[in-house]
Amino acid sequence: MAKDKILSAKLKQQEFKTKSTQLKTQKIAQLLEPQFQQSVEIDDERPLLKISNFKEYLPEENVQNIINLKLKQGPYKLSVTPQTTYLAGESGHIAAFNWRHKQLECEFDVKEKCYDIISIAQRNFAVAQKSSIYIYDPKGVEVHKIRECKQATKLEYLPYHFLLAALNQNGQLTYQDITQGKIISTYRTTPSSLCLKQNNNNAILGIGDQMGVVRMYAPNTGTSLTSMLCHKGGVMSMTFSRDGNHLITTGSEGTIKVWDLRTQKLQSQVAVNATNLALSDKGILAAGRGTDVVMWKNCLIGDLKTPYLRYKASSMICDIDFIKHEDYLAMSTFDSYEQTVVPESGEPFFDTYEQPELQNKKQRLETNVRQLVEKLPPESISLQSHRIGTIDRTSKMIIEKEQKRQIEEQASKKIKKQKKKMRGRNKIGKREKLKELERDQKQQVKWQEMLSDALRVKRAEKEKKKFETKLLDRLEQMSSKEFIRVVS
Amino acid sequence: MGKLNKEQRLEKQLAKKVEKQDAYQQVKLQEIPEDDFNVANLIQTLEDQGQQIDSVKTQYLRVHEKARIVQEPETQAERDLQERKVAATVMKQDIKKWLPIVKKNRESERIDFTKQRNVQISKISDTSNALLNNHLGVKLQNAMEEVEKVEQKQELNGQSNQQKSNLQFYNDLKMKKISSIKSKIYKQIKKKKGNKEKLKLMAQLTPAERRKEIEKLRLSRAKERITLRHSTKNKYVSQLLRFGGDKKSLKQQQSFLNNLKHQLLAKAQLNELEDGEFDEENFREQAITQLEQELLDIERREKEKQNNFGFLDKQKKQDLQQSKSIAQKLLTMLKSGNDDAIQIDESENQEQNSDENYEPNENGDKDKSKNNVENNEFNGRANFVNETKQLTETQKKKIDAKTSLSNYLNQEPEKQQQQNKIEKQLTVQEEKKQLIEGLNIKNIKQKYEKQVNQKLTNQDLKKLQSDPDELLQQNLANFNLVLDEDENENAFIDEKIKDMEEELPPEPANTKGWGSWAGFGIKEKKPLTQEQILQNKIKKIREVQKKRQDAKLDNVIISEKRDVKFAKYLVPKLPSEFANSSQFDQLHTLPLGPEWNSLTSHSALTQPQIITKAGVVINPVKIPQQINKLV
Repeated sequence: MAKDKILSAKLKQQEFKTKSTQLKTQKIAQLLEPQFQQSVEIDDERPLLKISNFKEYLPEENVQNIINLKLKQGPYKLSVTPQTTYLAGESGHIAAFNWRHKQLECEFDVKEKCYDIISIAQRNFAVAQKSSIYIYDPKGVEVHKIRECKQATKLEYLPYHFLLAALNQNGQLTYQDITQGKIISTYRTTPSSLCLKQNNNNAILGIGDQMGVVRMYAPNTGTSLTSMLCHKGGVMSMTFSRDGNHLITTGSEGTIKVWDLRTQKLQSQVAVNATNLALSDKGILAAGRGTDVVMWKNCLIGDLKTPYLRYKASSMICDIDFIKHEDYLAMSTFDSYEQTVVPESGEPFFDTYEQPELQNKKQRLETNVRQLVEKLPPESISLQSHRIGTIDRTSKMIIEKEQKRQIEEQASKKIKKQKKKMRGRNKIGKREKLKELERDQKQQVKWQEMLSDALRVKRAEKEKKKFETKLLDRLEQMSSKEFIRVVS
Repeated sequence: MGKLNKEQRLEKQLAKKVEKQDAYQQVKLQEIPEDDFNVANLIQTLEDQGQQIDSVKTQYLRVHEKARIVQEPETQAERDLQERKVAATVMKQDIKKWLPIVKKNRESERIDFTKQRNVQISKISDTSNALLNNHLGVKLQNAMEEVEKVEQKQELNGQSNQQKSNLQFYNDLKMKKISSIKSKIYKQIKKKKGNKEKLKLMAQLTPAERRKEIEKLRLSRAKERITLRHSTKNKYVSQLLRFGGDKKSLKQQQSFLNNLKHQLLAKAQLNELEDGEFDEENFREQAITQLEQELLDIERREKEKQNNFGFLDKQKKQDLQQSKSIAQKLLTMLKSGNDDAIQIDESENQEQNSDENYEPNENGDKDKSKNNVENNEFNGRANFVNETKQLTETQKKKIDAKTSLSNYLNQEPEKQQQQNKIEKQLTVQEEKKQLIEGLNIKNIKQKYEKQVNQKLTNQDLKKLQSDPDELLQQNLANFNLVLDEDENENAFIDEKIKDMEEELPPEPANTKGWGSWAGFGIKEKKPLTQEQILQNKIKKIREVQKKRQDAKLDNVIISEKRDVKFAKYLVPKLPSEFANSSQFDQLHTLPLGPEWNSLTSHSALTQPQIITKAGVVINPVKIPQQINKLV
């Protein structure tokens, strides 16, 4: 119990309030539940349903949004928002169009190899090209050129921190603040990286390795926070659940695995050879393998045996993503962009507080300002982010040491005022001579230490040799004496 | 004798030198003829006659002074140079004698180093002045003149031939020089000409032949790239050795293989869908025709030229032979009508593909095959369908992975038995093994074993294959993957041990005399051996391992480094009001912001303790009476 009576009373009050709020939220959730939640029933005899079978029963709005665009320039990468899709071909074809209204926003050719594309704040988008990373307007005008991170192949954007993370071909990871244009941290990760994905709950980045290891990174520390051996082969791709509690990975040996990140243990697995993964907010898992896309419904519970749906694309699949708050799956192939219906995949409740793309122009401007004001600092990214404001549980010794070190660093940074000495001692030439002397003395001490070690070893060897020679001499004498005796 | 020989040699050398010196003198004398005419003498004579020639005299003196400088002795270097020149001329004179002979020998088939001599006829003509008056003498002279004329003609012809041969010789030399010129433009022009000719040839060929030639070029290029020493570490070669000659990346290749599999599955499904009344005779005819076509294909494939890679050709041959033998067997069976033999051969293939269920059937695969053998009914339809069906990628991989892993697992129990027999003598290597076993690799392996429980043989794979070239590449890729898988575990464990070693405190350096008593009669401590140091280290690592968060997790490393930058968001000390940290944390269970709560609950939670309305007058604070009395 607390020492003060006032505090104990305060705590009691808060407990009461928490319980009351929980009840209220439950009631609101019941009221907001959709009454007609459509879903596809599954027969046990024919588990793999094809979308073409139930296309006739869909409403017209959904059928209109089933898209199949045929493109020519190389394998495509995509990033999808609730309103627009951004496409980047490998040979340099970049396009953005509104899939809801079927309007082209911009289209241009860079004439350079493009590796990845991603949508960032204020409807801009960033493209990882061969020379450097470029940021474009919604109308396709070049705004920035980031020269610092060269040869970036994979991009990820942290929306609440306004950070653009880029992974290099050599495994160098850079965090860049978009608002200030400042690089926050760069460090080297695994050189043989295959995929990059962020945990939406945590803002921690996961990097899949060719050695079958998934490593988690944050901008504060250069080393990996956790590393987990997931597969026998390389990790082809991975996704995090919306809670941040589950991780799903595919390996090149031909398995999909579901991991619980709270216990760091394997939950369930299937033998499917997949190359791309995507997970919707409601928990539908889509796995692309060749031209097929296979989907499971309750994968996080562990029901991976019976697949839910199957979709057949025109050519090999390169990238997959679900559209947020909608029942659509977007995928880019070698020569097409396709979009299909996946019933019961999207989360129907969207938060109006943070959904700028369904707003007016004025509202959007206001939200932009508000988001900038509420920007989270990059130092707050860690695995213990739920413990902000709580008591530090490390031992007192370590904390005191850190404080001491900080004080010493601050003291060392301060420039000491040198005393003025008379009679020409304070000349610049003399002062620098003294400095040189100090440097030489420090070096001399080092060399002397090195020499003393070396000399000690040499002397020991010499003594050993002397001892051996003495022994040999004695042995020779003994042998000669014995020989004489035998002869006599 | 040896001394004498030396002396003789010296004498010879000296004689040679002397001869050379004589030769110089002769040459010098030849080059500098003496002039009798002298200007000085002329002036003297003119002065004696009494003529006035002062101006001429002064000019002469000036010139004489200048010339005196020329007459001065030369330096050593200049002298040597002149001597060398002279030596070169002497040598040229010697060589001139031999040059025509050498030239002749180059052109002729035989070699003769004899000098040319005039024929003896000339001697006769000299001595035959007395014979001129005689008839015989006149006749002889005439005959001799005729002979001489013929010889002169022959000589002239020979000279013209020699000139031609000489010209050819120099022309060849010139062409050699031109060919050795390494200018870029010359090579470019040559290359363009060659390319144009090649293209013309290629245009004339049929597409099949053209393809072959392109493959040849590609193979030669690949061979160059592999054989060159500096480029063995090249990306192209490393990828070729690993994934079998495809330039695609790992991810693209995987999707490509999946696509192939998808197409094959579609073919199999089409065959399934063609249901109807089953006719044995029609089916047999179809099967026979298809098998014959296959045999023809195999023969054609065998005739094709081999690749340059030896290991690829061997496997290709084996595969083709096996498929050929199977097809021939089936043909004989079908034609004769013995159905039992087919079932025995293909009873192993009876297992159904489990691709549709996406899970391997762990049990019951054996029973099916047995049942089919027992029931001697005709199952040709099913067998034929199975032939067309392709194994999935996962199964193919598992076969390769399984064989390697089963070999590995079979070895382990034998090792354990041996260990039980031998008394436990803990060496350093065994200690390491135990440490790794402590991390429960066995559990990981058992998990993997369950995946691979489905039993398939390599024969299935080879029977059902369509293109041995593609399958070979796939197998190579899979084989490399299996090799890497074993490395993954070991690499991860090494990483984990390294991470634990970093946590250990640094060991003090072993200096003699420190940390031990000194004096007379005290024994010296022996320094620890490397084995003992390792054993101590292992003990320490085990202690560290128990304290860590990931002690029980085999496949996880959780770093225990403190995040200093994040520490500013934490409270360093417990406030004095609270008894426990849990009590303090209770305040943070509920978020207060509007993002996580409804507006009504947010207003309720953030309600102040005292509410004052606008316009209410707030009086100043008064001093209480108890204190006021004291004051």
